[in-house]
Parts: sequence; structure tokens; C-alpha cells
Amino acid sequence: MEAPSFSPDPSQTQVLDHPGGTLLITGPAGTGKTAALRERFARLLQEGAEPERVALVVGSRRARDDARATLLARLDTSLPGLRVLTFHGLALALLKEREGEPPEVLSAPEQFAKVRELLLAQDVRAWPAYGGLLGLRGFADEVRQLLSRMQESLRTPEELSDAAAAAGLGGWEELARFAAEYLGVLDAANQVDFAGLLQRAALAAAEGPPLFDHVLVDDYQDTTLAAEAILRGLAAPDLVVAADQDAHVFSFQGTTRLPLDRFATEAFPGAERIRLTTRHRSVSEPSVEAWIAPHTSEEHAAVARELRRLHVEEGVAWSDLAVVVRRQGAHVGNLLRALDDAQVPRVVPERGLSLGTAPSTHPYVLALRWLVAGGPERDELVEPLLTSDVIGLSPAASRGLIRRARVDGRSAAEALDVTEGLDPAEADAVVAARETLAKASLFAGMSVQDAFRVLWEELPCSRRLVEAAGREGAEDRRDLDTVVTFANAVAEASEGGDTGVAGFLEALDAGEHGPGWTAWDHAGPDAVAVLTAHGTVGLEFDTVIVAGAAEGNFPSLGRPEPMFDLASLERTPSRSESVRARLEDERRLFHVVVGRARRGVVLVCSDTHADADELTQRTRFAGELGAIWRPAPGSPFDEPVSTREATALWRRQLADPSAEDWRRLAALDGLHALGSDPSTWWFQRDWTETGRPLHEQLRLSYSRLSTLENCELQHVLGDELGLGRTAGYQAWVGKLVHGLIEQCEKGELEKSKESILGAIAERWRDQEFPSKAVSVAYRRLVEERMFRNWWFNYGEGESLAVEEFFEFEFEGVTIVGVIDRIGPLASGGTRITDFKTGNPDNAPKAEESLQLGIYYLAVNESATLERFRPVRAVELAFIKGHWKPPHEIVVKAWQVSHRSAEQYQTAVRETLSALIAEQKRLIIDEVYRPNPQADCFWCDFRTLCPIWPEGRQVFEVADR
Amino acid sequence: MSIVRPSLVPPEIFAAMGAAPTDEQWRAISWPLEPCVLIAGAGSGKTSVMAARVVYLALAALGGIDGVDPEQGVLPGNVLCLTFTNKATDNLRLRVRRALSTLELAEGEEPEVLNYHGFAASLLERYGVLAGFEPGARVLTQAQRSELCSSVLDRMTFEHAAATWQPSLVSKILELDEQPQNHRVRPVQIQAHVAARLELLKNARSNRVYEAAEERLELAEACARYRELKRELGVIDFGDQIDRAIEIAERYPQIVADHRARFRAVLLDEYQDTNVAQADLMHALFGDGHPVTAVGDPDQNIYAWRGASLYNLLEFPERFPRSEGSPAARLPLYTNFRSGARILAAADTIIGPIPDAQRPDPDKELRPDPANGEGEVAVARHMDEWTEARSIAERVVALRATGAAWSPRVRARGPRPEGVGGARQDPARPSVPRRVQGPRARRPARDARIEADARVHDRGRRRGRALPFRRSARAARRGRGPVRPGADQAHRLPR
Repeated sequence: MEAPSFSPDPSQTQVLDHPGGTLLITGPAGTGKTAALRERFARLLQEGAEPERVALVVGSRRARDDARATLLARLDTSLPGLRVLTFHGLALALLKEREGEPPEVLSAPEQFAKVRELLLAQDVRAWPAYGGLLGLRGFADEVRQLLSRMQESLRTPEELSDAAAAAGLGGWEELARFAAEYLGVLDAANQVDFAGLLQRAALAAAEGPPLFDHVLVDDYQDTTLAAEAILRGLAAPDLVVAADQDAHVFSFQGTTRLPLDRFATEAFPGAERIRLTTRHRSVSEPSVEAWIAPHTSEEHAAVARELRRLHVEEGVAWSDLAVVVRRQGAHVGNLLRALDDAQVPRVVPERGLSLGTAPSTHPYVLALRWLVAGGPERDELVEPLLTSDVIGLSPAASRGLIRRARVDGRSAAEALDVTEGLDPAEADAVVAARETLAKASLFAGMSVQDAFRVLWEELPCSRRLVEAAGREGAEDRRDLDTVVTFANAVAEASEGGDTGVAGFLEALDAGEHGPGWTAWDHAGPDAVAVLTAHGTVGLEFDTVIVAGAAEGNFPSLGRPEPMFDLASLERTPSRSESVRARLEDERRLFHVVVGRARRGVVLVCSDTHADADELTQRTRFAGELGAIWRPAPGSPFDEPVSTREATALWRRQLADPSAEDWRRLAALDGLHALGSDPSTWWFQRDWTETGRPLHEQLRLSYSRLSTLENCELQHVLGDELGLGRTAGYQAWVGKLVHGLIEQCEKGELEKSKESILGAIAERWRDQEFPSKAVSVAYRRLVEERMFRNWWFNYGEGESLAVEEFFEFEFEGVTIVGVIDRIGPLASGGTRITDFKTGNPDNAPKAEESLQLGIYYLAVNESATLERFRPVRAVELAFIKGHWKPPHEIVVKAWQVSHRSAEQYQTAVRETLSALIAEQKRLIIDEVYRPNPQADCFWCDFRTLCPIWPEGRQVFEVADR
Repeated sequence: MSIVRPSLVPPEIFAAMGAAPTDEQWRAISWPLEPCVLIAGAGSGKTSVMAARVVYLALAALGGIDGVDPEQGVLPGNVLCLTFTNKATDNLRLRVRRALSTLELAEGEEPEVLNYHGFAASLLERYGVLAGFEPGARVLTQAQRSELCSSVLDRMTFEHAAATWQPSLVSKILELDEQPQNHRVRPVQIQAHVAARLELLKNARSNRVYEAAEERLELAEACARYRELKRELGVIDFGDQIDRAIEIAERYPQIVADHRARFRAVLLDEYQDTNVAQADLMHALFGDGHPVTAVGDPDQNIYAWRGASLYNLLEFPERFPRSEGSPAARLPLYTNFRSGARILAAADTIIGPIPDAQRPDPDKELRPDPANGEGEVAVARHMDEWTEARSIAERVVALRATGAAWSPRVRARGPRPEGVGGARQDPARPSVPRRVQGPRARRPARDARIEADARVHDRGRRRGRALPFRRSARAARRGRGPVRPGADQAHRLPR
């Protein structure tokens, strides 16, 4: 704390020695205005001033808590009566003094709820202009803002109405009438909103003797006309006001600089002025750097890396670093994720920035929404709820439940009452959640705190959070911290008359208009603060990194203007004027942010277009600070700043056969020191070294060979490593159809239309399909086309074998497979048929089909299949049929005549031989190259494949 | 009206253009404050002309143009420029900012440069409440649209439309949502139209027509349900934004007046690519003789597949008449500053056989700028796309050897641009530094995937399940993390 060793510069001494009367202190950031005020406050008390009659008024709750802490340390006594107040606190104290019973103060969300309630109860006929909008939340919010601005500027509804009439604005008389009604309703209940509190205090201040001997006011650049009136009304014999006119940044919250600008002229004529100029905050001007990254993800990575570098290399405490974004939004999530990835501890002190959307609070928010949702809303909520941590079902299982509920003629929301088809653990989870929700819903209308308590105590995710926090890992603790913060928000919401769950959610959704700034706890975790530009006011850091320093974001000129703008009562500003005003606002805000840094500022922005660097709109403010844009430093591995990076670097060095031995040994040493466990090294782990090749006995099937034929890389990733996706519904249908055909042919299922349709009905599972529509369409396809085609072409004839397994040796390799059907030919010999349930469009000719070739070879080679020789025909039967009605079966057939038999067999042998040689070579080389000519449409591995842009960064193409 | 280029072009205009404007260009730059349309051929420097017009209007407003009343000028702060893509927006914004930097203007004198969608979105943001739309409605991304549409498929089944492959069914429905919206047609209108003709179609010679009609009825029904769902959830998509913006503009004259007061001059770029809805919005806001300058090339109408209507450009003079009622002026910009004479001749030869009646603008002719020389046109035919790609690469390398910069662009049009243009890379190809532009360019795809991955990762983490493979792959892509193998051992399984 700076206070105990406070050594004032000459201008500050003047402030301390100020004998009384009115004084205005101005000065840029860091010149010690706040410190001088606090010191003056402390000395006044030490010199015997009555604590009750000395007030220090500050701009925010955060500044108040800060000042209190500093002063208590400075004064070294416990002073419960210390009058360190915000303007609202001052107003409340004043009303208590003057009126005895102070009014109940509505918070912003409560004010919104009140306005909305009153608007909904209005008679539409009395609102010719805005009658259609009374039910809109957006309109209620606009009206709420107008009501606040009106009171802050000390206008009455009548004045509003007159001014609007004079300015020729239509519809405002409706608003003015409503404003009068609103104020009347509040008055009757002895309630005020924030703005009204100040206005009422301003009226009360002047009635009676001065309350304070000394009044000290900080951050006067962001204040309201009502606050000015309070000061004038208080008429303190000694008034010291500090302000930085370049730091006026809260105009969007209704504050204005007017009271400051006219302080020494109209408001307090004859006030003395002192200008502070000596900068105390930093020894030298902070350095400013400007980085440009090629993409937002790289921008965020550069931010994370720089934070880590500052912490590791320069020894800056985490809590002395800040990342600043212009405003809240989805992009903040990406930034946070990048910080998490780089294991940079971070806090998001502003409430609303992530509270409602953080993964750890998500289940509670969802559950709360469920409690107050109506039928149709619940239909939409049920799936997120089932798959969230509230219950934790898989998406497939939850969709299955919902579908089952629908099939039973119930609404989707009632899926919660269904447990059929779930495994016991899942069913228990659903039942438990149902009971918890039922219990919590008893409180929903009355108290959000009680409802939340039930959820917290009974939902299993709470237990998991607590358990996880007990383990190591900052990440897990942070999840719990977030929920605790959320719980505090719940508690706070219920303090001033619990509005129930609906009211709380409304406030939560209101976002920016919702809960205000929370106290920023310096004693909090040692972590980097992620703040909005406005959230930085009054804070101080070693280094501040501004992310998203691009035109359009910072300065951001696109903020929507209020629908009912008091400024338009005078005259409507031209577009150029409003752009200029906005730019000034933004520039001041930017300088406030930059002024937070003692040592360094880094501005980072990224290119929005992949292909034209010069298009990037970098913020104009960088140039004004003299910063020159340069590319953001990359992420070099040579100087690791985290154990993770070090591990990665050293592992690469260790694995690099071309590196010097000493380097590799040093890397090994380093890895050992880090305690890195090689058995956890995915992909780098040695395969069990048996001294023998990967496959001792090669067993190949057609499907493996066909993948190999398509692409080596696909083959190794899919077949050897088994990384492919699980088969989709087409495969499921294929299996079903093949199974039914087999049963029919084997006589296990009666060959009749009824029994086949019955079997389909019995086995069909809607859940296998992405939607009911697809399921129904597919079922029709199976029933009306596939089985019809099969029936007419194969159903009536006898087969010799179905689903016939084979296995034969070929060039030292075992080839295995199953032949769908072998049937007799009238002309002698047999015919091999493979049923296909897919599309015939791109099918190969039968004589070129590797699959049929292998089957043909199998019958000729395998002893168990001897009885089916000679094969005289092979065919692929596409039972789905032609795409054109009447969808007749498409058969690709090849007659193996006496003459062509040998030639066919030779061709098949050659193809197979080449593929097997390829397979063997791959096993020895273990280098797998992607095939540029491959058919990649169905490939699961494009994101890993160097010939596709998506995968280029994963593997580089190796030469053999 | 004839406009003579002054012997001394203001130096600021010169600076904005980077050269002295031609007579043709000067005419467009200095056209009085009234609606006009520039028919600009390829390479005619239309972006420069637009930037120069902003500068000209500013100069005029400051009294810097002899013989022009300052009332006939507009300060940049009161100018609105709309373009079609984000990239064009940034390009124009940068050009205008550079051009204006030569003028001594007060801070804040910057034109509003947006794309058509962004403009509609801001209008909705600002005035949506008036028309009864809650602010802050979430705008669906393409993926979210698909997701939402999929949930329609759980509530209805299809008799006629092919429904066995969900992605194509979804895209059919979404297309039927979007395309008619671009043309301001509603699903009920489609249903009514088709239903009224169903009987008639029964007698058509081919069944297919009838089947297609039945299919369309079903899809329109799905589409209506999708819209219903959007409304219930309070979400909108890009099409809805424009739709609502038009509704606001048509219903509230006050808002129109407000826009005309804020934007005293309007410049519309790439007008040939606007769709009916966008043109309707412009008309509702800035019709009736407001000074709108539209710029477009009837031969570069390349977004017809997503609803762009060439008629917007061709009918501009009648649709945006002068205040006194006569059609707006039509100003040609035909000189091509990009290509050699032979290249233009080749283009002419290709267009030549098209009869005048079928050409959007038969008068249009591209005039070469002598400074560009002759140019060279070569035609080659290859066995397949890989040899084609290789030969292009070789040619680029050869050009490079003659001293050309690495800037020739390979334009690929056809069913598989990635094969030729180079997204899918043949490792055997000569190494040419390249950048893939257009919708399949590298970064968006990668970004989307990283996001998707991150989501999976998050979900896994929340459930306490590790997803080692994807997670590692993701880390590797970013160049850190544990799995990135050395360059020399790419996808080699370690021993």
C-alpha cells in the first residue's frame, strides 16, 4: 500500500494543505489524485476532524472497497464509521439523515422488472404511437433507460413532455405520462431506482444544515447532474473534487462530463484549481508494442504466450498482468480457451462476462431455466438438459428418449418421464434428476436461492466439481470457483426481495444491463485478469495486453444509440458529429486502458481475411501512440516457457536422429527432470518390440484391401490403428438387410411378405437414424424396394449357400471373407452374388471388382468351397435398384466362360498379388503416403491428411 | 448532360486514383447529386472511381471545386457505401480512408462502409424494436441453420421427397427457405402456386414434373415449419434480417427520412450481385431521387445461384428515377486498365457468338488501355486434372524465371476447383508458394474445425472423459503439444 510511505510532490502538498473552501484537482492518470485525496482524508481524521462529518465519495463500489482497505491500513485503527461512499451510498445516508426512513432501492434488474410489469399492464389505447411495443422486452429496456436518464438529468415528466413537444418529437407524451405513473407507483411504495435515489437526495440535500464539514470527491469526470446537485445541496464548507477530464468513459451509462466542465464556473463559482502533473504511477512511460497476427486463433495464442513469457522470463506476477477486450462477446470465450490451453491462470472478475455461459455453471442455469419454462420451451430444453451434466446421457440415448416420448404421443419434454431403453445407471440418473427438479420447482416461484440450493445439494455434478477441485489442477478449481461466484450472484439477487427464478434469469439474460461491476478482489487468486475496457478503470498492472485492437472493435463506432435520446430534445446531431463524439469517447477509453500499465502495453489484432494482409484495419490509436505494427512473435520451441512446451521440444530433440548426441542426452535429462512419463506419449510410444514384423501372419479381407487400394494413409489410420468413425446408419441398414436375407435363405424366417415385414417392424430402430424423417424414408426403401427386388430376383430360387465363410492362403497371406450368396446356374456351374444396399451409380464393372475376384479365387482355392466349383458367373446385386422408377434391381454381372476363366483368374491374381506386395512393403517400411488420386469423399481422416488443407499442419509429406 | 474534365484535376482526386482520371471516369466521379448507375467493365478501376467520388463530394462540400455549389457536395460523414463481401468492404474502407487522408477533415468525417447484410443488420438493431422485433435476436450460422432444420425432420416425414440422406434433404429445405426469401416470396405463396397447378401437371407428358411438384409441396411444408421454429425460438438468419429491414423501411417513413438525412449520398458497389430483397431495401430507403450511385458489371453477375438478380442493375435507371421522374443516368466505364489488347480480344471472341438480344448489355465494349500492350493468351488441354495442375505449376515456375513476381493467379472454375487450384496438393508437384482464395481457403476451414474440436474437447472435459486423439491432433495443429513429429519422420510409426 502506498499510503504509509506517502511523500507528496509540491502540488499534492498544496492539496493536503488546502485550508477549506472549494477546490478542483485535475490531472492525467497516474498523477496521484486518488492518493492525495485519501491522504487528505486520513490527515483530517488524524487532526481531529469528526469521522462522521468527513466523507470521501468515489465512483464505484470497487474504488470504495479499495479506498476503505487503504485507509484502514493507513489510519491503523478500526473505524466502523469511516465515511467512504459511492454517490449512491452518500445519497442513501443523506436520505436516512433527513427523512428518517430511507426508501428501498431497486437494483437495475428490479427496475427493469418493474418497468416491464407496468408496461404490460398499460391500456394499449392510451399509447397510439407505441402501443404495439408494450409487450417487448427491448422496448421495456429502452423505456427503463429513458427513465434513468430523465432522473439523472433532473428533469420531471412534465418538462420531458414539453421539451419533446417543442422539439416536434411525436410519441413522447405517452412516455412522459408513463414516467409520471412509474414515479408515482415507486413513491407510493417508498421505492426508488438508482437514478431516483440521487434525484431525491439532491432535493433533500439542501433542506437543512450541512451534514459534512469535509467532502472529498474522486473520479468526478464520470458523474451526473443529480450528483452535482447533491454536492451543491450539501454545501460543505470544505469540498475537494478530483477529476481527469480525459478519463470520462461511462457516457453509455448516462454519466456526463458537464458537471466537471462547469465546476468552477456555474456550479461552484470561485473554486480554486490545482493541476497535478507529476506522474507517480510509472517511472517511465510504458512501452507500447503493436502486433498483427494472421488469424484470431493465432492472436489469442500470441497473447497467451506473451503472458507466459512475462511471467516466466521477467518474473511478473500473474495478478500483475491483464488482458483487455473492448467488450463482452463470444470471442472472449475463444480467448479464455487459448489461455487455458497455455495453462495461464486467469480470472474474469466482471460478472456477466462468462457467468451464465461457463461450462461449469451451465447445468445449473439449464436446470433453473427448466424450472420456469412452459411446455414448448421445455420441448426445446429437454435435449440440452438430458445431455448436460444435470443428467449426462449421450446424445443418442437422449434422442432415443425424446423419440420414444413422441412415439407414445407425449411431448418431447416428457422424455424425462421415460427410462425405457436406458441402461440401469442411466435410468437412475434420469430418475434422480427428475426428483431433484421436482423438488427445486417447489421454490421456483418464490426464491431463486432456495431453488439453487436444492440443485446444488442434489445434482451429482456438484459433487464432481468439489471432488475435482480437491485434486491438482488449476482448471478444476477454477470450475468450482466459477460456480461459487454464480452462487454469490444468486444470493445477491435474493437479498433485495427475492424475485424468484424467473426474475433472476431475466437479470442474467439482460447481460450488460444486469448486475453491475463486482468488487475486484486484489486478494483473489494469483491469476491474469481478463477485463473489458471499462472494467479496467481504477486498476493498475505491470503490463496490459489489448486483444482485438482493430478498427471497428476498438474504436468501435457501431454501438446502437438509445431509441429515446435526451440529446435529441435539443437537436438531432448529424452523423459526422455523432461519429466524432463516439471517436472521442473511444479514444478516452483507449487511453484509460493504456494508462493502466506501468511498464508495457501490447496491442494485438488479427487479419480478418486469409489472403490480403494490407486489408487489415488496425486500430488508429496505435499510430497515435507512436507504435509500429509488426508481426506477432510466433511460438518458437527453442525457448520453452512452460513445462508443456519444454516437454514437446525435448521430446522432439530426443526423437531426432540427426541431432548431436549430447543434445539428445540433454533432452532426455530434461524430460527426466520434468517427470515426463513416456508411457503417456501418445503416438510416440514404441510398439511392443517383439523383434518381429507388425503382422506375423497376415490376414486380409476385401474391405481392408480396398481401403489400401484407395489410400495407404487411410488404411493405416483406419484399419491398422482403428481410428475410423463408427459406421453410420447406412451400414446398420446393410447389416439388417443381409441378416434378414440370410435368415430367409436358411429357412429361419418364413419366405413371405408378412413375415419379412413383421421382422423388419420388430427390428427397426428409429434411434439409429439422424431423424424420424430419414428413418421412415429408409424403412420404406427397405420394404418397398430392397426386399421387393431381392424377392423377384433371388427370393424364389434356391441358393446353394448364403453367408459362406472362406479362408485361403495366397502368397503367404491368409485371405478371409464371407460370400453373400452362391446359387446354381441353369446352364451348369454356380454364380456368386454379393448384395449391395448402396447406390449403383459409381460401381465398378463386375469383371473389375476386386471383391468378386477374391470370392472367385476363394471358391477355386479353398477346399471347403470345392463343392461350388466351377463358378460360371459373378455379380454385384444392387437391390436398392435404379434411381428411376420403377427402381428395378441393378445387377453388374460377369460371365466366366471356359475360355475367359483363366484370363480372369490371372488378372485377379495379379491385382491381389500387387496389393499384398504393397501391404508387405508397408509393414516393413512403416511409411504411409496419402494417395492424391484417392476417393476421399467418405474418408474420416481428411483433417489429418497432408494433401488436404485441413491436415497439412499435422503431418508433413514424407519422401520415401 | 455533358461534363468536361477540367484541365486541372484536383490533386486530391489524382491522389485517390493514383493517376489522372480519364474523361469517362471523371464524368462518373463528378456526376451531380442525383441517381446514376455506372456500367463498369472488368478492370475499369471502379473501386478507385468510387473512392474518388467520395473525395470529390467532400471537395465540393468544402467549396474546393470551381463552379460547383457546396450544396452539391457531401461531407464523407454523410456518405454510405455498401459492398457485397467483407473483403470488398475492408478494401473500399481502406481506399477511402487513404484517399481522404489528403484532405483536411475534422475527425469523424468518415463514410459508413458496410456490406449489404451488415447494413440490414444495423438497421434492424437500431429500429427493430419499433417494428416489434426483440433486439439481440441470435443470427444463426449456416451450421446452426442445418441443426435447427434437422429438428424439423423429427416432426414430419416425407412421401415424395427423397429423404434417405439427411444432409441433402436439409440443404434442399434450407435452399427453399433462402432462395424465395431472396426474391421475397413466402413458402405459402409457393404452396399456393404449386397446389393450384397440380391438376394441370397431372396431364403433363412426363410424370417427373408432377412428382417434382409434389416434392416441392412437401419441402415447402417443411420450410414453413422451419420458419415457425425460428420464430418460436426467437432466432433469425441472414435472409430474415433483410426481410425485416425492408418491413421496417416500408412501414416507417420517419426511419426513411432519418436515413436520407444521415446519408446524403449513397454508393452501391457490385450491384449486379444484389438480390431482389436487397434492391427492395435500397429502393424503400433511397428511392425517389435520392442521390444513389450504383456500380456494377452486367457480365460479372456470378452470384445468380444465391439469388442475385441482374435486373437490379439493368432496371436501375427506371427504378431509381431522378426527382422529376426521368430515368437515372447510365454512365459507362469501358476502358480496361488491367489486360492487354489480345486478352480483351479473346474475351470478345468468346462473348461474340451470343446474340445481342441475350446479352444483358449489348452496348458494352471493353476498350484496352494502350499502356497494357498486347498480352498473351494460351490455350492448353490436358489428360486429367493432375497433369493440368502440374503443367500450370511448371508454367508459373517458368514465368518466375523470366522475372515475374509470385503473383499470377490460377483461376479455377469447374466442378472441382480444389483439384486444379491447388487446395488438394499433389506432393509431386513443383513447389510454388501459393495461397488459396475463395470459400475453400485455408483458414476458415481450419478455424471452424478448431472450434468444433474445442467444443468436443470441452464436452469431454466436462464429462471427465479425455479425448486423447482429437486433443493431441488439435495441439499438434497448433504447433505445440506433445505429438508433432519431426518433419523427417512424418507419419512414420516409431520403432
